[in-house]
Amino acid sequence: MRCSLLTVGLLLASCVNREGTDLPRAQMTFPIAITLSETPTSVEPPRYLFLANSNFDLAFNSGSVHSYDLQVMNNRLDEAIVTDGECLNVPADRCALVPDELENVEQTATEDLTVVRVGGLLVSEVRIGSFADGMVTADNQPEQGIPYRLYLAVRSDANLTYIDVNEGGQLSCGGGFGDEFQICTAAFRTGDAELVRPDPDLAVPSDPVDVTAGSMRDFDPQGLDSNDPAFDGEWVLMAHRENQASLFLDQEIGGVKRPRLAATVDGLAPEQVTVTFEEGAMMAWIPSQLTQFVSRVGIAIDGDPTQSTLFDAGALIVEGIDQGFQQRAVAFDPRGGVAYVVSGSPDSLLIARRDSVGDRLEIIEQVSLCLDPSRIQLSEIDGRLLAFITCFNGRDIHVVDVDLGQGITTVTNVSGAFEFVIDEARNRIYVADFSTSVIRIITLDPLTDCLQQDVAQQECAPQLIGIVGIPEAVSRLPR
Amino acid sequence: MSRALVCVVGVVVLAACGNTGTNVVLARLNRSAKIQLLCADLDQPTADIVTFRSMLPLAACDPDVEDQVPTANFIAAITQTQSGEVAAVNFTNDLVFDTNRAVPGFTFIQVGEQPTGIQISPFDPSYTYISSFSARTVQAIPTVEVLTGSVTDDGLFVQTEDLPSGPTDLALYEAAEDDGSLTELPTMRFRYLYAVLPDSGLIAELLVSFATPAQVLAPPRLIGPLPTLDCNAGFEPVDPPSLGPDNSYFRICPDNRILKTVSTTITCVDGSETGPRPIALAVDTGTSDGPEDDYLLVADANQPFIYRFQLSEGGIVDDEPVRISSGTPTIALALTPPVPELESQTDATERYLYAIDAVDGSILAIDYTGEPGEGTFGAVLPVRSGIDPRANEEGVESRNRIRLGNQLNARAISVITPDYNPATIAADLCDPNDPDDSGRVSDATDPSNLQGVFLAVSLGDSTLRIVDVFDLNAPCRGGTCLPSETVADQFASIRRHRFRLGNLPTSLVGITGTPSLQFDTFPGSLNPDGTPEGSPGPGLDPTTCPNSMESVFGTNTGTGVTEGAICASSQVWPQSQQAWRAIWHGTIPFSQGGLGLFTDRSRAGEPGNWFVADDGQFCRVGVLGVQESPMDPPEDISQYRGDQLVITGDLPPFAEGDPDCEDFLENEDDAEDNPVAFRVLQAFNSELEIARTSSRINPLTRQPYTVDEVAACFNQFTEYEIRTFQAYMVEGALTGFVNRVVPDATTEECILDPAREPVEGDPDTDLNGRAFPGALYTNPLVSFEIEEFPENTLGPSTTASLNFSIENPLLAEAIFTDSGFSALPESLLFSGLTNELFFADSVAGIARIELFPLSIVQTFR
Repeated sequence: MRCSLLTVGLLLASCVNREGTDLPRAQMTFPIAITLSETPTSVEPPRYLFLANSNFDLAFNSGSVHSYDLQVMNNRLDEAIVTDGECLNVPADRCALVPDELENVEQTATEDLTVVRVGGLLVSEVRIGSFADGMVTADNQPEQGIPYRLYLAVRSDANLTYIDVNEGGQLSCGGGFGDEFQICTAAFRTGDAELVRPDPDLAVPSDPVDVTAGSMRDFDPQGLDSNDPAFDGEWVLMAHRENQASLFLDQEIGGVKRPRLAATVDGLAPEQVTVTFEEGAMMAWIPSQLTQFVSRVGIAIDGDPTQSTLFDAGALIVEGIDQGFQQRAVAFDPRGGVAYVVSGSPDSLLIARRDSVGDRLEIIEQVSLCLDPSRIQLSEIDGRLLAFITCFNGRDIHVVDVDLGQGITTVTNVSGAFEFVIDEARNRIYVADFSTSVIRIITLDPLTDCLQQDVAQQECAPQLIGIVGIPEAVSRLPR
Repeated sequence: MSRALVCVVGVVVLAACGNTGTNVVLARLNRSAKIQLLCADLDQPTADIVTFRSMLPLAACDPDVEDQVPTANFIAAITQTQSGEVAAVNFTNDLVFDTNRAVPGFTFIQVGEQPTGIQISPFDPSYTYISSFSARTVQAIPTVEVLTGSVTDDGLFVQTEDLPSGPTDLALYEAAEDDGSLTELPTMRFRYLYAVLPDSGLIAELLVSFATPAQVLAPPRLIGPLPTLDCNAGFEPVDPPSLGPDNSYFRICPDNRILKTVSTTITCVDGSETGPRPIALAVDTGTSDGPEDDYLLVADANQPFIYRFQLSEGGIVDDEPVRISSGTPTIALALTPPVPELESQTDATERYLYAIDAVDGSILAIDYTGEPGEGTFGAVLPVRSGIDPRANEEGVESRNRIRLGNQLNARAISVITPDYNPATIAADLCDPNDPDDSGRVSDATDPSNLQGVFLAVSLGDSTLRIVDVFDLNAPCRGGTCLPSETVADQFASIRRHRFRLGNLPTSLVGITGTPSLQFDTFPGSLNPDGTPEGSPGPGLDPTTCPNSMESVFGTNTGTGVTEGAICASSQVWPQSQQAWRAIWHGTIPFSQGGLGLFTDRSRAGEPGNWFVADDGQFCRVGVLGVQESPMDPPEDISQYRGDQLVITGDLPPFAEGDPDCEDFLENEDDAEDNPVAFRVLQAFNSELEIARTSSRINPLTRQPYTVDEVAACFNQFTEYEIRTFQAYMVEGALTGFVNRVVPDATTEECILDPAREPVEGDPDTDLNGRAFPGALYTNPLVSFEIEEFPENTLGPSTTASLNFSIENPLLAEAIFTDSGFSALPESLLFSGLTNELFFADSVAGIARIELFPLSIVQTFR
């Protein structure tokens, strides 16, 4: 369904960035990507949640990126749902935290919605092109006073957008960190405005769909502790819908640190949807929603960035299942050895060898999933490695114990579940609800309790505890 | 369209023709997983209106029984994993049970979250027992509630027992005072439920007591945890016998065909974790009427063992189980009844335990005859001649696994025994000479008519396939079985533990088209005697075919012909229709990469000329360095002088203007006929020690380029591949590059696996993908000898390639179970009552499958 909607949207894309209605402040509009801020340590909770709004129905003249303060969000929600809170005895999907900045709430909220106004919830927001379709933070640690970056695949720009984030969670993409609701300047929306090396034939391909990024130190033969300046900065890999991928290097050259296009590769699979970096193998897997192929792109970066390149590391054919034509997302077992591939035909999680040497994905196990699975995140809870898989049409989030190949539980009635992140420190999930333009906040506490052996049996399903934003009717979608 | 597809389509079409009861209804089931059968006296005019009268013994739904209760309904209860429900469907009237008419759509009864097992007694189905993983419970739910949503007032009530961790399977062990009544439920002597708890390594035993009026589920008794073992601790495999014409069951026609004796090595692989993970159960009710030979079998998804607990009326007798060293973790079990050892026998003496390999989805056949310690009980049997592509790719033994297709994982197995009674085999065997049995003789020639003992296997691609164990119709297959026989079934091919062949071809394994041996620009057509037609290059030298192979190309070909220019395995099960090619200095498949770097030190710091490649998996793909006794030219692999590394990428941009690198400007194009190549002295999984000089001549110095010269131009990540040297690279389109290269356990150098040394006279052990000129080349499937290059014809840019295609007209019996939709098979259940197979699929719902002929006759979604 989403694909067809995107197609409709793209037909309208020629109107993107035209003059038109300004996107109201704090307004969510078809949120399509969500990510957490990096944390200095793994036990420290992330401070900010970044949300990319796609403006999918082109109701406005831009999309946006929001930066939410997670501490404010969670503390306020906790207050609202405890004794004497505004949302006590209110169904979780009727308890809406709303940034103070959002106007006309009374006109848009339905009567049965409990609106909790929250100051300081929305830290910052910037306007970007429409049809963002993937967002990532670089995998390096934010240092005091040094901004780090969000990278986005924006389809209306057909380019890489990048946004600086400071320690306070404020966003900047051409203006200052304090500038309110700035519009990202052209320099921040054209990742290929500069090239790593002169090459008249090098240009970013069209229709970017997802990005992944990491530290250049990933490729430093001396390791992450090296001080070799050649490996300062970040790499960004972008997948494009039709057969292609592109590599950007975000390094300081001539006093300017910005992404520069380094290489592209063609001849991959059609209808690519996501890109996932395989640490240690120096390659990324890009599943295809239309074929039996999972493309693999090799990234070659060494001490001379101008020589960096991408190469087709060989596609894996998904065979032996019925039918295997819709792979949508990939995750790698952090313990090594295994890749998890979300398949839509049939709806299942493929547990496969990561080191297949031939051209076929060597499937070890296949686990049934909810209807129309889309995205996957892994998280270790109570010593178990769990896969969380969202199912857009099924309106579910399915939880699987990957070692047992056993379903654990299903979070049901999650409208528009698609992109999501797991806040392990707070034991919560934040779901970007594309359909109704809200963030859904789900607690993992029931699941955690359930997995602990000494707790009496109970339902394990994580529970929705509240939303952020005012739900919009799906009927707003273009028909 | 491939022959395989034609065959399968044909089977499906035929199945449809014989289908008189198919009734596909709109989707109501949601993630069906496990299924149980029951019989009940009720009326159900619509899905949500049920007038329930009583439960009946399952035998009351026997379609052949006299005095059947007219309103007996044949019903299945099925777990719905995602919704945590148990659904029920009525085979008698094609309706699903909707337990709440007030709710739109179909409503099923809620059970614990993530139901993983279901059991219903065939004697007394009053209760439906459910194990639920996330709820960590076993529940006893009145079956009437499963059907109607409510409990009638007869003292039945929902009972729940907590378990210390989540169960993944449930088994039932019971005995009844069965008086044969079809209307009254018998008195139960005892009943136990068993659940496996993988997280805690335990087996839970739950006694059901029959205190009037209710049946009470007792708290669990926990057995275990099972011991922590692995391939180095506790693994005591039984030597597998070689199985050939004298000691294995088969029916091969005509009778002059070769039946290869198959052997196997013993293998062992551990799971990814430490400790036991009991995952699935099977109850062995033995061959006697009493409990003395009853056992509970437990599959372990992490340790290479299957456990066997003795059962009795008091439950598990001894908490210390007997261990069967399966050599691999397993996830599902199925056990045969006794069957005769040989086709000529009628005494049922042999039993087999089948298990799904948790590592790769293949199937093990384990000897289960007699008792532990006797004979070859517990041996993992050789069940395949030839080589399996996936096993070859993963560098493991092929011969001790049943694999039903490339990359096809078994999802569920079930032993099926249509019309089989071990006590009456002599009377039940098809007799081709019995004039009163002519109709049966005719039916017997259709391989889809199943009578006897078989293993049904549900595969990930939604096909259901059959493995032959004992076929009551075998004596009537193949006509007279003489070479002169011409009936449609003349090539009947049945062999125990092999997949059942489902078509009636007019020929056996052969060659399609005409082989060619291209030499430089000459097309290289070959005459039947192997000589090249119009080419100055080499031809094929006719040879004596290796054991069990027959000539498929030569002056004479066919059954029994063992002199030929190309020979192929005569064994119809491992042979696939596939193209073979042997390419002089050919690229080893999947040896290509893009992250190669020249360096003067190995990763371990050893100085020398090295090429490291983070994306290389050289041992996995079969790359070799210099072998023990290098010869020039080599005649066999022990004399091999090592593969060659070829730089295939273009110059990095920085070097494009360097005059010293000018000769490499068109390197990508030059890689074919004037490559920059270095011989591999030692190969490791991601690095190579290479020779100091390359094969490429520097046009200025007229000396070979050195590593340093090449490395100076290619000092960035570069693209590369590995080619054979002074040898042909032999590759099957499906089988791939046959090899037995593994990393040395100590040095990690790529070596020939010492555990799989070739055995003279057994081509199954010739795991070699390099053919040398003038030497016989043999792999488990084909054999040939390419002549040495005629004098003065071999140069540095010589190209030569042998191409031929093998066909195997015999195709597997298969039906699709996806009902036209996508499918994810979950379980199989055989009913001896109706001689039918019941199939549950997460996506496609459930199907009722007749076995005579094999066809789907009823589906629910």
